[in-house]
Parts: sequence; C-alpha cells; structure tokens
Amino acid sequence: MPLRSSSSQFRYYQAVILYHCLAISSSYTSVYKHNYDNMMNQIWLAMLLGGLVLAMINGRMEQVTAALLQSAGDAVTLCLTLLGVISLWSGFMKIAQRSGLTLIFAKAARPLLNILFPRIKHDAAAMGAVTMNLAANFLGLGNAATPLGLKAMTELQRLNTGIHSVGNALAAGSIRRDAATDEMSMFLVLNTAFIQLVPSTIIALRAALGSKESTGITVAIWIASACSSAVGITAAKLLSWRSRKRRPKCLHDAKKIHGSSNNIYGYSKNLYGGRNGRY
Amino acid sequence: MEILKVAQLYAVPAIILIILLYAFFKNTATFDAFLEGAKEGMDVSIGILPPLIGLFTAITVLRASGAMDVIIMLLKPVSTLLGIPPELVPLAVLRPISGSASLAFVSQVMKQYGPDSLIGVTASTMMGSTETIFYTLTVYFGSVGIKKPGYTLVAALFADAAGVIASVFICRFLFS
Repeated sequence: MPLRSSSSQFRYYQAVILYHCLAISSSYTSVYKHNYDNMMNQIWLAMLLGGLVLAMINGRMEQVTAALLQSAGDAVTLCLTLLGVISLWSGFMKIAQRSGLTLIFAKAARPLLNILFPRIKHDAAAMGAVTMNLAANFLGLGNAATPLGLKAMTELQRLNTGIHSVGNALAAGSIRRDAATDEMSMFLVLNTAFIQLVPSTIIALRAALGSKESTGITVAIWIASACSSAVGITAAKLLSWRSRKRRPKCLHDAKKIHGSSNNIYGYSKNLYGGRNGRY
Repeated sequence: MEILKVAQLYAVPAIILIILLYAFFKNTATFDAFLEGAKEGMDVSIGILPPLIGLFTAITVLRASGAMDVIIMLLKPVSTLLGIPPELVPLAVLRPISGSASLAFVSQVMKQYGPDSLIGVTASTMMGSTETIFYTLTVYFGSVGIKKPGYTLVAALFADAAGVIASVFICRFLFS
C-alpha cells in the first residue's frame, strides 16, 4: 500500500533521484582528488539509502526485505559459478605467458605503439613495460597486468620532466612532477580501452546463467573494444595537441616567461619535443 | 556476416589450440603452468566476493524498491538520444566506477531478460568492451604520485562512451 498520494509521491521520487545525482556527481569530483574509496562509500550508501527510503514510500518493504536476505546468497552463488571458468582461463593464459606467447603479441604491437608514443619510443625500459602491460591486458592476464602497469607508470614518471605541472617555473630549486604527461595519459587510455582476446568473466557469467552461446559475444566485444580504443586514442591525441599549445615548450622557456633566465634546472631546451631531444 | 558467425564459433577453441600448440613446441610444462594460473584465478574470484556481496545487495534493493524503474524512466530521454536501451543506462553509468557493481547489474539483467536476448547480449558486450576507468586511473596515478590527471579522464570517458554506443549498434546488427 503506497503511503502517499501520487503527486507527492512523484515529488519524493524527484528528491530521491536528485539525491542520487548529487551523490554520483560529488563522487565523480572526489575522484579528481584521488579518493576512489570515498567515492565507493558514497555510491554504496546512496544506493542502499535511496532504495530503502523509496521502498518505504512505495510500500514495497516486503520485497526489499526478501531481496536483502536473498541477494547475499545469490552473490556467493554467482561468485562460485564464475570461479570455475575464471580459473580455467587464468590457467590457459598462464600457459601462454610461460611459453612466451605473450612476447609474440608484444612484438606484434610494437610498431603501433611506436606511433602512439613517438617521444619515448627509444627508451627501452619504458616502452618494454608499456608493451608488456598491454600484451598482458590483451590476453586477460589480470594478475600479471597490474604489476607491469605500475612498472610502466614508474618508468613514465622517470621520464616526467615536470613540464605539465603549472607553476613549476616559480618554484625555486625543486621541480614538482605531479601532473600526468601525454605518455601517461595515452598509456592509461589504451589500458582502459584495450581489446581483450577472450573476455572470460563475461563468458563465465553467461554460461552460469544458462546461455546457449556463452562465447557468442566475443566478436561483438572485439569490434566494440576496437571502436572504443580508436576513439580513446583520437581523443587523447587531440587533447594532448590542445594542451600542448597552451603550455610553454620546456621548463627553460617557462622560466623565461616568468622573468628569470638562469637555467638552474640544468635542462636543455631540446629536452622535450625538440629535434635533438634525448627521447 | 557469415564470416563473423563462423569467427564467433571458432574464436575460443582456436585460441586455446594456439596456446597449447605453441606451449607444446616450446616444451613448456603445460599442466604445471595451468595449475598455477588456475590458483591465481581462484584467488581473484574469491577476492571479488566481499564487494560483490555488498553491491549485489545494494542493486537488488534498488530494483526491488522500484528506484531502478524510476531512474530508468528519468534517463529515458538520454537513452533514446543515444540509442541505448533504457534498461542498460544504469550499466553505462556504473561501469566506469565499479566492476563489481556492473557485474552484479549485468547478472541481474541477464537473469531477467535471458542471456541470449538482445538486451542480455548487449549488456555482455558493453561489460566486455569497457573498463573500470576511475579505479584504474586512481591506482595507476596514485602509485607514482601524480595528482593532476589532466585530460586523461576525459579521453578515457570518450573511449568508454564509444564502447557503449558501439556495443548497442553491433549487437543490433549481429543478433537481431
């Protein structure tokens, strides 16, 4: 039995939705402050509170109580059914890793990556880590991909001159290197939009729910991922081009703009993007 | 079209065959490697259980209370504009934020509509072609002390949106 008339009920709906929108948008901003845990706290709380409040307004407490009690068990069942297929794939992919098949994929991807990372293509350590992480992602080696990705980030940070951090020229003596470089952005966009050879979690989920063609979505996922990668790469390149136009060419220039000319950082003018650059 | 159908059918067995044949020619201890990998896979699956329980419950409560219907109804203009089925708009919103939440949502959608229905197939494709952007960015940037992600998030969200829209069109094209 609904507790309220339909018009005031609609107002309550609006309030609940507004609450959700606020929670999600505030979460999106909190990510900018690097607080992912906080974001998940807010979203989880918003979902549960919103659902419970609306259930009271709607008079659907009975269904919600049943759902609360049943869903925890359902989650365990789901997890256990997924466990089989995920372990199976993980096992096959480990074989691919051991036999060196991953290296072949990495080698094949190298020409493309040289185009995407023109400034660091001669840095063997950085390019190696980037390539291996993407190859591991491609094969769905979640466990291997994360350490390789963090290694790649460390290498990219080593090459970070601090040119992207605004106000560096004014900071005397020390260089802040807390802003993402173009290479980091490109790497992360590739990392999140990359094609996965066998989307094992989805296949497992579909098989668990009784699909007759659980692998039938593989090609569709490849095509969709390819679109996603293409758009991501284009967006990253365009945005990097736009942001490059706005900032000084190198730290030396930045210092000049701010009225000081002695090069206390010891960087050459050509370090970043010049024809004789070190990269 | 026929080629794609054949590819769908052969993709997974062919990949396993290639992996095994290559390992055979390279004299890899296949079963040892398999066992180690399977163990890692098990740890991963068990690791996602706590967040999965929490988020599964939250999403079930949202659905049972009728809040999900209201959200879907309110997002209808957006979904018709982009051509996304309204039932899947919450997935498009949840996916960049939380892998467990979207996994829970996809499983419930597939249970309701059937995994081989157009909605089930589209949900699978969306889930498979997009990533947990916020989590990845936080972990990777956090690991080296980058505090200003610049345009990375925007570019990644563009890629995500492209994946979502592409999934809808490809599934409509392939499966209906």
